[in-house]
Order: sequence, then structure tokens, then C-alpha cells
Amino acid sequence: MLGRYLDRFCAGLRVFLGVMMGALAIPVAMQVVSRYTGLIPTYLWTEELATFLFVWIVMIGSIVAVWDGTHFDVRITRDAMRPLTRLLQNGIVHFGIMVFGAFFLFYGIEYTEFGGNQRSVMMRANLAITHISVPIAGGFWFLLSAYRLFEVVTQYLNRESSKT
Amino acid sequence: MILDTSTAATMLIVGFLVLIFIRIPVAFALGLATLPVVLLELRLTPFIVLDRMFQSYNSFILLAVPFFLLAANLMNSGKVTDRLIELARVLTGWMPGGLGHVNVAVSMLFAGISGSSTADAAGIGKILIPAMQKEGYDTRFAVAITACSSVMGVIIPPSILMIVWGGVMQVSVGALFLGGAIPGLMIGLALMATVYGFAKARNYPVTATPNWAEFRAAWKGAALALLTPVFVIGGIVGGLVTPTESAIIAAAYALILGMFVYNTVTPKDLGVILYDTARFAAISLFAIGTASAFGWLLSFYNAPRLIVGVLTAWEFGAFGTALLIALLFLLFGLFIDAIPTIIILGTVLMPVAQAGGVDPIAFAIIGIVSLAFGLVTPPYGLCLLISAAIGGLNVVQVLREVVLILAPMLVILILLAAFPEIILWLPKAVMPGAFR
Repeated sequence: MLGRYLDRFCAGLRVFLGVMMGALAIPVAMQVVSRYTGLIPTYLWTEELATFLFVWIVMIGSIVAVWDGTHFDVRITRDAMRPLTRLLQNGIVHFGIMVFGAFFLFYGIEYTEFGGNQRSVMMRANLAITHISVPIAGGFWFLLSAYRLFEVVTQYLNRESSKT
Repeated sequence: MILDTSTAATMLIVGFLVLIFIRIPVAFALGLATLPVVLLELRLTPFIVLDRMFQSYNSFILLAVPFFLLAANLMNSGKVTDRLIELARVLTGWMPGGLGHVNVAVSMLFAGISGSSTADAAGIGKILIPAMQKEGYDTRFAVAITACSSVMGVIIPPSILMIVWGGVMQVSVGALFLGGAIPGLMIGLALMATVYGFAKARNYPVTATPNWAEFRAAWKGAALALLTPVFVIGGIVGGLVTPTESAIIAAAYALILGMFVYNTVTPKDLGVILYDTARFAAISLFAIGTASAFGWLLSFYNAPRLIVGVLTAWEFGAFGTALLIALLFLLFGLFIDAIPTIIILGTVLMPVAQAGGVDPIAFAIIGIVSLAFGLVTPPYGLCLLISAAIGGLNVVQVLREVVLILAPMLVILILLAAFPEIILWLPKAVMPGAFR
């Protein structure tokens, strides 16, 4: 049940990610158009807005990639064949991401408060609008990896119980 | 606790390698490896990991990465790749091993447009691997030549890796683009010679010799796409546009071609392309963030200075230093994605290159060519993984062909280390200001 909700949530994030990518093109394109054509005035905030969107794309993309298991990894060792070693091999990966997620969530709250005390140079925007992506990303890495860990443990236990 | 250089560097590097070994994704392994250090060290706050990540994203030049990926994805979806293949076919298909040459030639053309090797492997592989299988080529050869030729995407300008390198190490991106041109062409020619050798040994077929009408039609079909490098490379080298601006111009141009000129990209396709681009860019750039935090910690503990001290004491000279740099990049490239490697290893080796008398542009190109090998060597050869998946093979099954095709490329890498003027001649001639 929770898995289905998380799946839908990540499907929504995928759409959002595409929209953000399209949105990212707008301020950068405005910069080019204003610089080379003079059709629109030069806006100084476009670079800042692009950076803000960029940060959110990276953080949201990292959440989706945790759910899809598409972050780059290195497979030096063989895929485990035995159920228990497979549980350990997969479980440890999800646990590692959970640890980093917990770190991001815990220190990210303080980091957001730190950002809340600062303003961007051009837009005078409160920097919490980007810094808050840190605890949000951390929280979701934790949640999504915890669910994936739950899945591999459940699979292992079901297999073991079906044997007995 | 106050950690000394060797303890901190050992904790970081050993921690990272152990985490990689147990299959923690590279971006997370880099971040997790920093945690024991920042949690133990009294002079640091864990906050620094987050802050260094954010600082790395605060770079306008990195915005070029998603836009070059977008341009490449639009080119693939807009059937621009098909037009380039047709052009490559009339140019090279008549030689023994025709489709093998087409594969190399189209990668060179695509490299001049996109800057992404993975987009090259995916876009070209999908069309040419089945076509080569149909014409009787060994699937292992088809997969290997597709993967190996796609690495030119990061060597022939424009190149995403060169943009990242220029942004991180404050080197002129225009000079890097020019520096990659001759080595890229040399690798292309070496690959074609290898294809010729395979064709002779295995009796691979030639495709029909094109007539004048076909020749003209192929040039006409690809002409608009071939204008892209003129905007991108010409714009950057001429100082007219920044790399990020050139990337958005390339993406906009690819969009116009796909949607309005060739009518091959629909609004629905565009949504999928935007998502695919954002997803791949986010994965790469997230790794840049954690790599930056990792690299910053190494610098905080003066690890680069320690490495420079050790290496300069060996007095290798310029050639020895360049070879050592190539070797280290080759080694790292086997296991880690190219972009985090540039940030971690590139920044550490920059002073080593300076101390050894290696020019920063030559250092960059030698590093990038070495990293390109990593794209086709297991366990982390993304282009090989993509091509093997298209050919329906396991990576291990194509290793023999890959090694045979890579051998001449390795000779070129050694030549670049021995004679850096091969790299430097063009940028010195066109952009002498970059060397002052």
C-alpha cells in the first residue's frame, strides 16, 4: 500500500522534474536573447533564478534516482546468489543511503535556518527557498530507502517461511 | 579530536573505496566517506558537507551540462542521428567493413554536435548495432566499436567534460575545445584503421558505393545539423558566447530542427526528453556536489600538497608526469564516473602537473582522453554497458574486441603525453591569449 503511494509520488516528481527542466531554459534563454538581440531588457536576476532551479532539479532528481535505483554504482563483486547474501548485498546499500539521508535531514534543518538569515544578491530572495531542498531530499532518501530495505527484508523472510 | 593529514586522507580514501566495494552508489559513497571525518574533527562542522555541495552548484558554467544533454537528446529524438548516419554512410560506407566505418564516422559527427558520449552510444547504437547484425557483422564487434567510438563524444568538441573541467579548474573552455580537436580526429582515424583490420580479417561486407545524387542528398539532409558545432565551438572560441549560453543555443537549435524543420519531435516527446535530460543531469550533478565536499576535505587536510611533495621528489619530468597523470585517470576512470573524478583527482593533480611542467590545457586533454577509456572499461564503462544492452550481450563477452579496439587509442594517449604540442598547436594558433 505504502509502496503504491511512494510510486505515485515519484511519478509526480518525474513530471515535476520535466517541468523544472523546461522552466530552467527560460531564464538562461532570456539572458541570451537580451544580450544578443536587445528585444528584452537585461535582467540581472535570471542567473540567480537559473541557479535556484538547478539546485532543485539536482535534489529532486536525486530523490527519484534513489527510488528507481539509478544512481551510478560500481559492481566489482558478483551478484549474490544465496538469499541471505543477496539480502545483505542489497540491504547494506539501502541502509547506507538511509544514513546519508538522516544526516541531510538532521543538519539540513540547521542549514535551512542558516539560509533563512541570508538574502540573494539580485532577487533579494530568502535563501531558505533553496536550502530547504537539503532536508527535504534527505528525508525522502531516508523514507524511500527504508521502504526498499523493508521490501528486501520481506522478500527474504517470505522465501524463508515458504521453505519451512 | 584534530586529525592529521595522513589519518584524514586514509579515512576518506579507504572509506570511499570500501563503500564503493559494497555497492553504495558513487555519489552517496563520496558523501558518506566524509561523515566520520567531519563528525570527529573539532575544527569542522558537519554543516561543511552541505555547504560545499551547495557552493559547487552555484556555478553558472555547470548549467551548460543539462543543456548539452538536452541538445543531444533532442538530436536523437529528432532523427538528426539518422541524417548523420546517412552522411557517414556515403562518406565511409564503401570501405571494407563499411558499417563499422560508418559507426566511427557518425560518432565523430555526433561528437561535434552533442558533447555526450552516453547519448552517442544510445542514439547511434540503437540504429547501427541491429543494422550491423543484419549485415552479418559479429555482434561482439558491433557492440565494441559502437562503445569505443562513442567516447569521442567527450574528446571532440563540444564536450561536457571539458566544460566541467574548465569550470572547476578555471581553464579556458574554448582552448580546451580546440585542444581536443586533433586528438579526437587522431582517435577517429585510429578507430577506422582498426575497423579496416577487423574487416580484412573477418571478411566484413562493404555497403554500396554511393552515387552523386545520394551523396548530395546526404549532405543536404545533414547540413542543418552540422551547423551546430559552428555556433557552439565558433561562439565559445570567438568569445561571443559563454559555454552555458552556447549550450542553450544548441538545445534551442535542436528543438527548432526537431519540432519545426524535420517535424519529428512532438510536444509529448518533448516532455519525455525534458524529464530524461533532467534525470540524467541530476544524477551526474548530484555526484559533483558530494565529490566537491570530498575534494574540499582532502584539500583542507593538505592531501594534494602531500601528493605533490611525494611525486615531485621522484623527478619524473614532463613526459613521466603526463604518463603518471594518464595512468591515475585511467585507474580512477575504471571505477568512478568521469565528472566526480575530474573534481577529486583533477584538482589534486593540477599542482602535480604544474610542478612537472605539463601545460594546463595538455593536462586537461590527457586527463579527459584517459577518462574516456573508463567509459568503455568495466566495471563502470557506461557506454559499454549501454551498447552491450542494445546488442543483448554481457559486457564480459565483448571484452576481447574492446581491448583490441582500445589498443591503438592507448598508443595515441601515450603520443599525447610524449608530444603535448599535438594538443597545444591548435589552441596556441587560434587563442594565443589563453596561454599568457
